Amino acid sequence: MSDEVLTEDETVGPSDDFLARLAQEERFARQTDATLALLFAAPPSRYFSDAIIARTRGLVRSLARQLSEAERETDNSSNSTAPSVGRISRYLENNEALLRHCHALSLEYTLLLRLQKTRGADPILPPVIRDCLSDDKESTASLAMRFVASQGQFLQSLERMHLPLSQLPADILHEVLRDWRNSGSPQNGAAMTASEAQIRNAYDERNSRTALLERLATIVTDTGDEIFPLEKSGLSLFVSLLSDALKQEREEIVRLLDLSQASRLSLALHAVGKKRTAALADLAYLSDEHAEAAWSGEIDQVEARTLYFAEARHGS
Amino acid sequence: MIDTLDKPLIEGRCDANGWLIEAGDALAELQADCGGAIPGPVAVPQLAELVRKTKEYGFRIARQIRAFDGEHEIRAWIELTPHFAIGGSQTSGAERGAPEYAGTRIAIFSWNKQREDLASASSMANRSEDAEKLLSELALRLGPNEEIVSVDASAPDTISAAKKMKAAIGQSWRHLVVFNDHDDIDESHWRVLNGARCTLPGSKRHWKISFQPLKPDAGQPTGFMLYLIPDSAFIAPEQSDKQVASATFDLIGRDLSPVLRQPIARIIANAETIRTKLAGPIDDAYSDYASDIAAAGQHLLNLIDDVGDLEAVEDAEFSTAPDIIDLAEVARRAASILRGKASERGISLIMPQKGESLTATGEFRRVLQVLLNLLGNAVRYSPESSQIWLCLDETEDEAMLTVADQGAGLSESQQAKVFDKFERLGRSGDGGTGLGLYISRKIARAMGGDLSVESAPGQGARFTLSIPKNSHGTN
Repeated sequence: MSDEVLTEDETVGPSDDFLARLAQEERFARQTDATLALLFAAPPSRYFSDAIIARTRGLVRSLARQLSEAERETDNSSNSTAPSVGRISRYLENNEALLRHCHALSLEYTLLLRLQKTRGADPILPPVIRDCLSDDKESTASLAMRFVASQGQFLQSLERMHLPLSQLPADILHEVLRDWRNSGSPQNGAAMTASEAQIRNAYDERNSRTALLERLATIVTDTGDEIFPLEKSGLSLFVSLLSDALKQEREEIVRLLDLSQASRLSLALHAVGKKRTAALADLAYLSDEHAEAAWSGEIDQVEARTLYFAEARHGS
Repeated sequence: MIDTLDKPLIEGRCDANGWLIEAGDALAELQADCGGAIPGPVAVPQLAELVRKTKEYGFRIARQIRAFDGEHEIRAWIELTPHFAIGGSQTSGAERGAPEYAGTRIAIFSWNKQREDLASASSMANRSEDAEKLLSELALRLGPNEEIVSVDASAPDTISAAKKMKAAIGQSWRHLVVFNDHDDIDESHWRVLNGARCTLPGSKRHWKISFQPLKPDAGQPTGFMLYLIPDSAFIAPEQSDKQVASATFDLIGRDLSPVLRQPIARIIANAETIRTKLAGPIDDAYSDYASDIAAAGQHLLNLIDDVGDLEAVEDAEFSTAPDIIDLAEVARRAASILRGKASERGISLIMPQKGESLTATGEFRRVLQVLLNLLGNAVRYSPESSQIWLCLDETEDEAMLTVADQGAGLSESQQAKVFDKFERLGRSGDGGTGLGLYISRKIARAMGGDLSVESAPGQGARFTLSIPKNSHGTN
């Protein structure tokens, strides 16, 4: 499972490393039934396809690699005890919020590529972003330009299964740094403190792709009455727009776009005020099979919203 | 929508304690609308949360926040930068030495007040409406011209005002309260009176007025809900808590006791099933909750039993059925019932020897009840691994049974009130109701005897039940 030699622990009793592994195994054992049910779900979910799981794991490992390198850079001593990539990864893999985030990024990346292939959708420059680039307001055009650069880097990074620490949302980065600290040995405290301070100091959430998307979403929703069609906004902005309208995390919204969630997605679109034709067009754009999903029926927007959130609560 | 990319529209600053100490106009206004001041703790909920996170994380955060200023939803793009001080100088990073958090710089890049988000604005408005509904202790339904349609009062000190209001149905409510600082009552728009302070005839408390216009759609209200919210809880000056409790329990004991016992017993039984995981494995935390439920249920059952007894002993016609009994036998019976509980705590009970006997006149069941109460208290409040004695004694007319323990003992003032109704001597959470000793003494006296205590702090306590040897003293 790991490729490194563990540092010797002189204290009596189970080591932190062992306890972390134990926690992971216990969580795994507890969730086996639910996972089995998901794997055998109909229609089949792509949540756990080999490619997505491998990419999620790759992203977590890439974060671990950056942390390990950061520590080695600040640690000048000859006998460095910086924890290995494998050891940090194990700590990070226990962090559910991080896993959820990396998993959602992998799903988003896969969906972007699929829409490019099936619909010819441009993953970087969808029509709404193109309009923003030529907007009269300089701030909007400039923001769109920053996003285009960031989205391009995102696609490249994800292809290489790489996720820069600077792209993590603030709350998750904070947790990652905490997990990293827990994975380290006390002898290395000074080097860790120095490299952690460097990472915190360099971080600026406003430059992350998700923050740029969130901010773009606030600008474009202000100019239109209804959420743009998926075909126009492109998948990444569409997710941020829905996330803003439903006040749910981006990660939750990305999961809605999976084939196994067609009814919930249709309900969510209804809940944010989309009319039947518009919603079905979005569903069909994602996949022809999606379009077969029943429309939530003759209920109004408020009822759809109530039903969606009641359903979200039961599901959680 | 106002938006800039690099130059903030509005700026502000928080100090190291998370207080807003500087704020541009719009932010200052929002802070005031949310009930805050400058300087003062950040009152805008989402902003306060972000300031706290910036302090904790020690790095820059950028988010959209939503806030509600009472009428509009405000959406703002906000960027927060923590500042660190090293030896008096400030820097935005952690380059030198061990920097200390010195505050957060707030930069707002977009500020959108116009957009009406149906879902969020109405849900926030509903939340505050619900809160006012819950807090209000006098509610009026008003017509479109603020004429009274109906009155609903829930607090004792609003009854007289409510009576006057009911007598004025169809008329304006405005002169039935006394406004603290509004002169032109008749001419003021309802929005001006919304939030005004007033007093109510018959109430010593101060009240706040809250209007909820009833609108089918946008436009003129078709009526109002008017909530009066007090600034403090109602305290009845003339009645002590104990009297209130007693009045309530009369009803519970007489009418509800039999009805309550069965469902509570079921609650306890089911909670026990969960606690012991009979129906399947569960997390320990849930098992602990079930244990709490069972304990609370048991306490409730004890209380119902005690209240039943209380009503019996307080009834003017309460009497016992006197019989010739052996006090030594009652003592041995009580000890055998509580031996298990005592041994759980390592307490040894020293009871009258077999063959020992002391004849007295009383009702066996009632004497046992008194003894179980005394012995139960002793077991509950004695230190672990201590001893409790049950000693027999007699005078010419009286037979006496003393329960002596090695507990913390009672001071003179505690002894003076330990037999009072609902007296718990400051204890709580141990399942006691504060009725046991009161009831026991009542029973003892009903049998022509008495129950008394001798004690000193640190010396343990001796509770002595005395009852007549023959039937002359009984009633």
